[in-house]
Amino acid sequence: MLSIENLTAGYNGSEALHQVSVRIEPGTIVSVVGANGAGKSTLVNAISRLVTTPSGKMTFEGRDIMALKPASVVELGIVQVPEGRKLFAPLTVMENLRLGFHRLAGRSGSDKVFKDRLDYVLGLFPKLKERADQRSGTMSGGEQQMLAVGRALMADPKLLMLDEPSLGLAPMVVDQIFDILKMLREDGLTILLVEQHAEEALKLADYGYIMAVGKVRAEGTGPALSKDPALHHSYLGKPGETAA
Amino acid sequence: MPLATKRASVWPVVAVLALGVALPFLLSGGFQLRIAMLIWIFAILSMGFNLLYGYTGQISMGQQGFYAVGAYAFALLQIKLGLSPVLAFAGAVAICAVLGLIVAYPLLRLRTHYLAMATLGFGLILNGVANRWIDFTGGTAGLTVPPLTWGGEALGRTGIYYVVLAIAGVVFLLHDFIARSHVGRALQAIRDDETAAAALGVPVRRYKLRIFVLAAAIAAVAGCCFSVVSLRVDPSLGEFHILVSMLTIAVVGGLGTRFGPLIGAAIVTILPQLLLQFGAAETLIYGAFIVLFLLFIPHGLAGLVENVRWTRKSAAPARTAATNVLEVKG
Repeated sequence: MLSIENLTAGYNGSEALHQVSVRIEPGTIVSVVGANGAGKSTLVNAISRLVTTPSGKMTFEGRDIMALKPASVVELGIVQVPEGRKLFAPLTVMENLRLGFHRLAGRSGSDKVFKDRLDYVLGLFPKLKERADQRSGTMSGGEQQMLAVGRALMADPKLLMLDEPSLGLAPMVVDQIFDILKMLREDGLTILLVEQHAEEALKLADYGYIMAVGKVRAEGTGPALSKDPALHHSYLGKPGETAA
Repeated sequence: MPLATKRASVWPVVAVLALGVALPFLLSGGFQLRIAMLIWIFAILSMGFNLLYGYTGQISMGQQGFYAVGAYAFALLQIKLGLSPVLAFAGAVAICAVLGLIVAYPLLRLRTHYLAMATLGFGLILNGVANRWIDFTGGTAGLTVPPLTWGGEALGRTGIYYVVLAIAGVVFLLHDFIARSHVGRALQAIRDDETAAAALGVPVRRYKLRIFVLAAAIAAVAGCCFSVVSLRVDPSLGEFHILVSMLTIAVVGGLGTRFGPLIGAAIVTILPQLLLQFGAAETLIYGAFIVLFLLFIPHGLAGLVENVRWTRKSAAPARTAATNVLEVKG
């Protein structure tokens, strides 16, 4: 579905990704794990075309996306849940969800599609229905993360990218979010999960990549990577610990 | 009402416009009607500013320049080219839209106070041209605008009022439609976080460009209306006090609200008339009024009204640009 070959990317001339290659097959969860500064978020932002990518190749469903603008990438069905959630704090839950629907808004029959997407999202996150008229900035961190995921799902993505969805959340809430991701995979959605909580993310993943200092250092099936003590020791800290 | 279809109603706008239609029958005297026309004109001007700054977060301090260009173009197209008022109106709006595009293309790479300063420079240039290109603009004396006619007769004050009201009604409905549509939400997303908006598929630069052009065109509409009412255009239309009026309307009415421009325009136009009785203390009282507004009603009157509704029914207070500044950055 998504193929990245030898990608370099960075900010204002400084390179944060060096010759990174990643493949994502349809209907799978691919986890990218690594410590702070590994280049995980840059990878997500490079796919979303939010950072400059001087060289490399990226194709989505066979189409070259290197020259696309961010809105065109979303138009293709690649939607991200940004790090730190980036909700529109002054807007209500419902307005944030409507913004997530921007990709499909204005098309013929979009009212019906909107209602279907809303039913789907509120089915996954019933709490959002109770909070529909509440300003998103006033919700708890866990609720905000649910809204951020729900907002992205409103776009009916083909590839959902989540950048550190567990950031600042209690373990119980993280488990809930990961359970939702499993359900989404069962529904056929393809997911790219970028996480510092390496062990949980790799256990969840069909395939995983371990990144450090802007490069892919190891790759393999999620469970295999999560059980490899040498990799943990080298790049993520001891097994069972969260990478710092 | 089902959750998915719960949307803000257009009926309050229709009710306000209906009140506008009835206004000539409720007012006594031509002076009051002129005040009513000025309210509509400043409301039009402020609606463009509201879309640009209140909803999209792009601070332009050159809107008074577009206002003046619209007024001058409306006059000059009639005087120099002999166009009818309708064609001159369309031409003036088109000229400002193109000018807005030319200005916006390079300037919208800037943000916050850099954008404010650059657009302020644009306003100052236009003001200088209006003052010094005497052969074309009439210099400080300005130009006399031909009066609107109907059946060979000059249109009366009430007729002019309804022309202004009709134009204001169209702008008001457009402003309200944008505010309530997915475009309005996309603009607010740009205001709150451009990167997050882009990540959701909002074409940020395209929307910023379009809204800047639209705001320029709306300022031109207000300028044309002022020409029709005053029958005169001069460089004062592009001066700083027009910008100050717009900012005051934004503070009093409420930035990023549906009714802020109209409420603010009404107060900012009427209040100085009421304060005339205080003589030399007028400016002092007016200034104190603005400071009190900033201290106690920072979201403006429109924001206050929405907050009252919130405390009774829902958990969502008014969402204004001021809210954003206070809570996201604070």
